Amino acid sequence: MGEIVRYKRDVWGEEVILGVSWDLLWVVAVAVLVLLAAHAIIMAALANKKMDKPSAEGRRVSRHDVFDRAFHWITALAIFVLIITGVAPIIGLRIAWLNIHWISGCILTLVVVLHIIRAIFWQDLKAMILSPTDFGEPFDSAQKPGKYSFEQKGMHWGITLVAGTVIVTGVILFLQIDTPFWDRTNSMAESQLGLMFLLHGLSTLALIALVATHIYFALRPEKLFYTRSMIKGWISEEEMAANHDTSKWSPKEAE
Amino acid sequence: MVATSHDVMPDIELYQPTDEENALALAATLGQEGWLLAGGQDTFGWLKDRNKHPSAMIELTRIDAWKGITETADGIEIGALTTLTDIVNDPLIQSRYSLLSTAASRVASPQIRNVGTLGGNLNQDARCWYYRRGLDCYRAGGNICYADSPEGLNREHALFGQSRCVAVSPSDTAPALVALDATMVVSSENGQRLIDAEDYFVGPAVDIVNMTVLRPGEILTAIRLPNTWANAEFYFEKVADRNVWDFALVNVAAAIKVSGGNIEDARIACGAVECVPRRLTNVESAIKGKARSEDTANQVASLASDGARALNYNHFKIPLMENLVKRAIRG
Amino acid sequence: MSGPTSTPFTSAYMPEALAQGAAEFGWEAKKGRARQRNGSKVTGLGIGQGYHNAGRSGMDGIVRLMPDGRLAVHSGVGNLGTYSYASTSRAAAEVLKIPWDRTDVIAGRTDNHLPMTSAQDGSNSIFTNTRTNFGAAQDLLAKMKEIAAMDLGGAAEDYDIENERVFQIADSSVGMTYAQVAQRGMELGGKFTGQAEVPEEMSEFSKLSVSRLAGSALMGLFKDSRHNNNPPGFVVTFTEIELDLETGKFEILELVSIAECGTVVHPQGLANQLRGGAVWGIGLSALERHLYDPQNGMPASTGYWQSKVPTILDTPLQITTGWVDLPDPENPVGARGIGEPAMGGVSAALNGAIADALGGHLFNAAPVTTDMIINHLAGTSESAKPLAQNNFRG
Repeated sequence: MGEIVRYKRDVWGEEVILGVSWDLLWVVAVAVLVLLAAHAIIMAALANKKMDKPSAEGRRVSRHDVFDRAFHWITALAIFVLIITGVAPIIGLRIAWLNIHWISGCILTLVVVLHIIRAIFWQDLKAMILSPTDFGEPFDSAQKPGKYSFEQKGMHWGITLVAGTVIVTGVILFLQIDTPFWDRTNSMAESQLGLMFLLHGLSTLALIALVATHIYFALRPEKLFYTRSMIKGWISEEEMAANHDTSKWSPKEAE
Repeated sequence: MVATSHDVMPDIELYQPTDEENALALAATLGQEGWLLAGGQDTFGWLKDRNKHPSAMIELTRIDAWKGITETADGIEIGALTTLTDIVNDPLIQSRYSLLSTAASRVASPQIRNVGTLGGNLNQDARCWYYRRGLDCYRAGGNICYADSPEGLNREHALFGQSRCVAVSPSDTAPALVALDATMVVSSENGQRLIDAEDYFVGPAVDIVNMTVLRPGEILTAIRLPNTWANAEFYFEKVADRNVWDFALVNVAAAIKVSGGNIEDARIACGAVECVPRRLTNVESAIKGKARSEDTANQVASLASDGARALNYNHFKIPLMENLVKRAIRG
Repeated sequence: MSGPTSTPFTSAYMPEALAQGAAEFGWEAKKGRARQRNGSKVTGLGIGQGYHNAGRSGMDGIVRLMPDGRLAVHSGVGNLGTYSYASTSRAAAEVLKIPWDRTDVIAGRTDNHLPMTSAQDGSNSIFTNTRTNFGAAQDLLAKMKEIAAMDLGGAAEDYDIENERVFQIADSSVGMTYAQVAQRGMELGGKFTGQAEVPEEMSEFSKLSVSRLAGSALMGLFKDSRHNNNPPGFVVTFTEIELDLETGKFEILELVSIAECGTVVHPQGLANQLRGGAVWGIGLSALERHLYDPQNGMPASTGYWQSKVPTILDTPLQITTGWVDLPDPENPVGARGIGEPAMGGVSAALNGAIADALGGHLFNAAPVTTDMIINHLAGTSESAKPLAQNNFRG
C-alpha cells in the first residue's frame, strides 16, 4: 500500500503537502464493499428470525415535508455530481469536470445553508439531537426512538461533519481558481493549499464511504419504507408503531 | 547503490526497437514508464534541465515503417518519424499540401528540423516556462498555476480555454494539420485508432497533464492528409520574437477553396492561443460565399478573437491573432 | 582609471564620424523615406551614437629579443574574436621595425610568464596594452643601442635600427644584427636579461614572470604610468527598418556603423567588433529581455530560448562598417578601444528607427519587443500592465 499523503516541492523547493494519496480511494471502495457485503450476509442469515414486515396499508402519517424531501434530493444529486466529477480525473476519465464540480458545490453549499436555517427556525431541531440515552437504543429492543433512530441520527451527523469539511475546504479551494466572479490570486501559501487539498480529499473519501453506506441501508428491505417516505412523504401508522415511540414523536396524519 | 549525479545523463533503460511489433509491445509493457523518444528535441531539454526523470525510453527512430511520405488512394500518409526537413523538402507535400511544408519550415531552426520529427513536433509538451522550470504546477500534477497569477509572466500564454493551466500549444505544424483536416493514426498492441487532428489535442479542462489523447501504450505512427484539401489556397504565418529558433507568439494556418472568385469552403486554425490548435469555425462560416478580398478579411477579423480572455501580459495576442487571420483571408 | 563624468576626453571626432556615416548610408537620398507606407509596412530611419570609455593604464610590459633575432611579446590579452592579442602586440613590433612573421605573441597561459595585463573588458584592451607593449619595446630598443655603443663605439644616441639591424647613423655598415645583439645581451646579463634593475613599480605578478624568464634573452621591461584624460570609444550607426504594422515585426534593411576609435590598428578585428556589436545591439534593443517573476523572484530569462540572443535571420544581410582613423594623443599608436560602443550605436539607432516607424512614439525601454509594438498599435498602450522587464525602462 502506498502512503496516505502525497508531497510536492513548492516554488522554493521545500517539500509541502500536495494532497491525499488517491490509492486510498481503492482502499475505501474495497473496505466499504466488504463491510456492506458482510452486513448483508449476516442480515440474510438472521432474516428468518425477524418478525414480519409491518404493513404499508392503512392510515398514513407525514414523515417528511415536501421542502425537506426536495432538500434531500437536491443535496443527494449535488453530492453525486460532486463525487463523480471529482473522482473522474483521478480514475482516468477525461471530462471537463471543474466547472460542473464547482457549480454543484455552490448548489450544495446553498442548500445546506438553507437547511440549517430552516432546521433552526422552523423545524424541531431536538428531533435530530443525539442524547446519551440514544446510545443505548441499539442494545435494547424495547427502547424505540422518536422521529429519527440512533442510526439515522448517526448518519446525519456523520454526513454533516464530513460534508461540512468538504464544503469548507471546497469553498477555500474554490477561491483559488478563476471563476466568472473573481480571478485567482496565488495568495495562499502552497503548504496551506496542500493542507486544504488533503482535508478535501480525506473528507471526500469519508463521504464516499458514508454515501455508500447510506444508499445500502436505504435499499435494505426492512428500511425501504423510509426511502419511500423520502419520495412520497409518508409512512403507515403500522410502520410507525413498529419502529418509533409515539410518545416521543407525534406526526400529523398525511393527506 | 548508484549515487545520483546531476552532471551526467540519468540512468535510463534505453530500448531501441527496429520493428513495429517490438515497439508496440514495449510501449504496452512499459506503459506510463516508457518515454517515447524520437528526435529528442523536447526530451533532451527536459533531461538537461533535470526536470523530468524517465526511467525507460523507447527510441523510435530505427523503425523505418513509421518514416516517409507515401501516396494513398485518398491522399497521402506521412510517417510520424519523418523529419521536419524531409517534410519541408518533399515534392509531393510541396505541390499539394504546401501549407504543411511551409509550417514545417518555420519550426525552430535548421538543426532542430534535421532531427526533429513531425510526430515529435505534434506531441511536444507545453512550453510554459514555469512548467519547464520543473515547478510542481497543475500540469506537473500539482495544484497551483504560477503563470496565471496577479504577477505571473504570461505573455506567451493562452487567450482561450484556460482551466487552471494557461499553457498554449507550441506546435507550428499542428494548426496546419487541423486546417488540412488530417487524421492521426494512433497504434497500440490492440490495433489502430484514427483520430481527427482537431480531436487529437486536449485542453486542461479535460486533461491537465497531457496535451494529446495519446494514452500510455499508444504511439502516434502516421498522419494522413485527405485529398479534400489538396491544392487548396493556403496561408501560413508565424509571428515569433525571433525569426528562427523560437516558438510562435501566434501562428495561423488556413486552407481556402475558392471557386468563381468566392470562398467555397475554408478551414482556419491558430496556434499558441490555446492549449490546443484553435479552429476558427465562426470565421470559416462567415467567409463562405464571400470574395477572398481585403473587404471580407476586414469584416470578419474581429470574429477570430471572440471569447478571448487576456491574462496579465498577453493582450497583444488578440490584435495579433485578428491581424493574422485578416492576412490569411486576404491572401 | 578615468571616470567618464569627471574628465575631459583625450580626443573626439564625432562630427567626422557622423559625416562619414551619412555619406556611407546615403542619408540625403534616404531621409525622405522615413515613415513611408508600403502596404502594411512602414519605413523607419534611425541614427544612434554609442559611447564607452575605452582605455586604462598602469599595466606592465615584457618583451624579449631572442638569440635567433625573433621578437617575443608576452601578453595577458586574449582573443574574443577581436584579435586583441595580436593588435596590442603589434605596437612592440612596430617600435622595433621587425616583420610580423618574425614576432611571436606569447599568450594564453599564466605559465607562459606574462606581465600584469588589464582585464579584457570595458573596451580598454587596445589602449591599455599598446601602451605597455610600446613602452617595453622602447626599453628593449634603448638596451639594444646601449649594447651596440658598448661594442662598436660611440653613444647609444648615435644608433638607429632598420632591417633587423642596429647600426651607426653615421655609417650604416657599422652595426649588429638583432640576433647578435640578443646574444651579446645574454653574455652581459644583469639588467639586459632581467637579472637586475627590474623596474621596482612592476607588479609582483610581473616580477615573478621576469624572474622566471631571467637570462633567457635580451629583455625589455616597462611599468606604464597613468594617462591623464578620458579616452572615449565612439560609434555612429545609421539604420533603415521596415516595420509591419499588422504583426509588430520589423526587418533591418540597412545598417552602417562608423567607428571613431583613434588610429585603426587591426582593420579586420575592428570590422568584426563592429559587426558583432551590431548583433549585440539588435539583441539589446529588440529581443533580449531580462525578466524575473516578481511574485516568486525566479529568473525567467533562462537558457538561449528565453534570453533570445538574435539569430542570423534577425540581423541584416549586410552590416556596413567604416572608421574615422584619426590618432588619439594619449596613446603611443593613437588607438582607443571599441567593444561596447559598437553595441550602443546600433541599439540607439534601432530604437530610433522603431520610434520613427511608429510616428515618433517612444517606449523609453529596451528591448522593444513584438508584443509592445502590437499593443501600442492596437491602442492597448503597451499591454494592460507594463511588462516588468529588468533591462532599461524610463
